[in-house]
Amino acid sequence: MHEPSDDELMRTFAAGDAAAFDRLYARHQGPLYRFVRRLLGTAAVAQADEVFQDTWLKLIDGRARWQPQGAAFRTWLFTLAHHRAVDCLRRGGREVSTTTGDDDPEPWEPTELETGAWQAWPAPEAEDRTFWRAAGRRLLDCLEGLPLPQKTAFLLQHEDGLSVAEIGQALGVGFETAKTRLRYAVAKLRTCMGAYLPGGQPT
Amino acid sequence: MSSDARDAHLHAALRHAPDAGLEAPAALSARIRAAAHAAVRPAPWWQRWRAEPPWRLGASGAFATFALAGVIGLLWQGEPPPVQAPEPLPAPDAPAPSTPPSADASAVAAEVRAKAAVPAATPTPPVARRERAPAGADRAAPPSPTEPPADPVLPAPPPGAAPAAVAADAPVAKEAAPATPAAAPAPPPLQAMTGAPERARALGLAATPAGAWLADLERTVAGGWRAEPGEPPPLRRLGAVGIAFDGDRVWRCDGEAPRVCRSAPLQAPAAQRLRKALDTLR
Repeated sequence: MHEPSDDELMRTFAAGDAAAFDRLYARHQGPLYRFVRRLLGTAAVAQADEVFQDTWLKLIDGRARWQPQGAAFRTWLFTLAHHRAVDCLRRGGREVSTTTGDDDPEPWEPTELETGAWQAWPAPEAEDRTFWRAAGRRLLDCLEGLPLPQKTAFLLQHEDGLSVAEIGQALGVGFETAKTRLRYAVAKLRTCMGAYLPGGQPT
Repeated sequence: MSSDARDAHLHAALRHAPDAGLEAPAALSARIRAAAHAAVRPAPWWQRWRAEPPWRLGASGAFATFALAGVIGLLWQGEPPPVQAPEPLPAPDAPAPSTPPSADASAVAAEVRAKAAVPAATPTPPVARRERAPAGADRAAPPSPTEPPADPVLPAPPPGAAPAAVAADAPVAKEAAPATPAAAPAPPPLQAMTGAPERARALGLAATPAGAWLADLERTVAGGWRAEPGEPPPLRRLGAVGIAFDGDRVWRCDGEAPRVCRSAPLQAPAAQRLRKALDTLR
């Protein structure tokens, strides 16, 4: 049975089929909700529901004007959510920078000592749920410390599977800038995680 | 390593994070789905009739009205007209009651004008205030410090425009017949009597600063309202009307039980202006 694509469902919804929206919503609500929660972090978690709802209402309001235009529906949806989240953080009085100084002449790189513990992690496919659950908890804490642009790039790739090009599109930056933000995010997270789990054992 | 490749360890950690299975709360999902369904579902005819009287419904509404009138007429067809008792003869020495047809018409017109004088009075204070504002005044400009804070500053109307407050809640009303603000109040267009001032009067807010603020809100939103079946944000009460600003939207809830809520998008400058004006109503 043909499973309609996101584009097809969105077109059908725009034509007046509410059931198409229900399918779209069921498909994307979980990943989008996690994305919004993680993006806002613990400081603004109370606004996560508002940002999430605003994103979907924006989609509903804009259904008649929506055109694929080369961007995947998922990219467009997460872009809407990113913009709403930034607006929310700014309304809350937080200084939100959408750039990270990625053009610093001497970009940050972790030292060999800081990455040493990382090497002792079990293989990702190892069935050590206890370890990975602890690692997951620590990762969420480490994400809190990332600048918003890097956090966004990391989540869009590792949670939501967007390519670097799609991440650049969502954030309104070029391919190389998106790639650099990802590299910085991964390096900082590795260091943060490695320090928490010396020798690969959960604490 | 490909630039699109995820870091396997971090990806695994994320997959096992405590919130990995998190989904939107059921109530939130229900509200969103309800909003989507409401957006694509046309309102039943009786709701459209109530929101827009037949003279605004266009050809189909007018046809439905005349069809209904025709059916009612057919029901009466063939029945004799109601018998009227003959008028008593006047006493010989009493003056004959003289009620020429034109006097009846002028009495009716006077009654209409008397009724119209109430909604016409509603916009007078803001109209007088508009006359002080320069033409093309910035909508977001705050009131002068020397002015009393009770009434919000409304933008100066374009030349020849009607007092838009009386008919601000429907797009068709934007094309209402022009009226002279400074002249004696002429009877407003018929649709104006069912617009924002009528509702405001029904809600006990006629001829008040709160009523003027609501009229400004209606004019600003300009028909962009959308039904909101879900729970509204915390409301600020203006009589029986509840108002809330929520991000880039404004909420309006009328009545108590049942309470009917709507929301509309607002540009940031308009939202800021309305918020400031609302704060002066404290």
